[in-house]
Amino acid sequence: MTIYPACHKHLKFRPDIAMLYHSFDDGVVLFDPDSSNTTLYHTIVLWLIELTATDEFEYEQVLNRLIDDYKNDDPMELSQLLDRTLNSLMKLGFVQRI
Amino acid sequence: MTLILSTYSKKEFCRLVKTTGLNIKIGPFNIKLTSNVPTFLDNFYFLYSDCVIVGDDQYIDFHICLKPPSIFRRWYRPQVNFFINEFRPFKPLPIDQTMAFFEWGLNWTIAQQALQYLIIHSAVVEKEGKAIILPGMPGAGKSTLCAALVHHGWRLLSDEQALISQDATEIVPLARPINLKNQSIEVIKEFCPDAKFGQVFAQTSKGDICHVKPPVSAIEQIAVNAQPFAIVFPSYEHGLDQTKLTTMAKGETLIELINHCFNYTILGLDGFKRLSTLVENSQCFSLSYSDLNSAISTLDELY
Repeated sequence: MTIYPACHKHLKFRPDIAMLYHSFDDGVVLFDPDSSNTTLYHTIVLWLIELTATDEFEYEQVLNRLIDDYKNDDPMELSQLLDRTLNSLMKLGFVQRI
Repeated sequence: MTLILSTYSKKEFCRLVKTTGLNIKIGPFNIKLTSNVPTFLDNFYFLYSDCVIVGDDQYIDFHICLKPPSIFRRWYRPQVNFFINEFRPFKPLPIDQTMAFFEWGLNWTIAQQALQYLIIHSAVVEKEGKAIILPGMPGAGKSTLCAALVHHGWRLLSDEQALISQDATEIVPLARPINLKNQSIEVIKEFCPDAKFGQVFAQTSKGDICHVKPPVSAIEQIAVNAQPFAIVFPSYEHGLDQTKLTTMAKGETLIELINHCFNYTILGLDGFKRLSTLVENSQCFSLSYSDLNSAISTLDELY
């Protein structure tokens, strides 16, 4: 699992995120209006957007909530999935550090 | 009263196109065509004979002119230039490929300039008002399948470009000649004896090319849009025992479709929204086939 520095504690989706995604059964497609890059993500992104789209959030809180909501899944795998997803979302600018 | 191209005799058509130019409706576009290349005029008159002639009072979307570069090039290794709105985007091609050049040039022009549509590189056919989009890279077999379908009860909306409306709930017809290449020419000649074939242009940069004239019914219904119903990625596989229709996940389909869009990045967020809506409202499949009868039956069963 990635060790997040303190600055990763305060994260936020970009304010126009509601305009930039479309959710399908097999995943969530995100559109980057700056580059037109379009990426298919795991459905966890929809969960993440619905939970945190409007507010600042902290990694640990989200992870705990994820493990709580997806009780039937392996917590280690869930945390790795969240790490990978958040890393990618931050790299592409969909999630920003505050 | 609607005036169609074949109302003119070939002689009168040639005179008009050589002198003043002639305004012709192709799909939703009005085109003013000017040319002095005799073989091209013969081919065009045959392939587009059912198209509507547009009056001079109508807005012209594209002014297209095909003419040799110089008097010298009319005689020595003769060539032809393609002009769109007096701009020459391509190097000249051999004059005997003028018809193919017109089709390629018009494809390019529409893809570059018709930004009111999201444009997908695909064939589109329709039945009962519902359209199937058949996207495919060159060689995937989309034109072959399209030609077979439109001569077996389906309406031709387009062979090359799906024009997706602003709210993505309609596909706008662009019925033009179907562009067959290499072996598919003989395949369709055998499979669709009623099809009307233009001249074969040998050894173009894309191999041998032959255009199939769009059925009259497709031109008559050119103003009738269709609803998106299914997106099917065809793939011709020689010797395949059985036609395979496989459901594709929608997210995966959207990502794959982007590779087939001409103007997705130009349209930006609008393009993303249109494509998302299109995929949301369509069934999504991949189709592997080697037998046209079986492929047609498989698509018929979707209805």
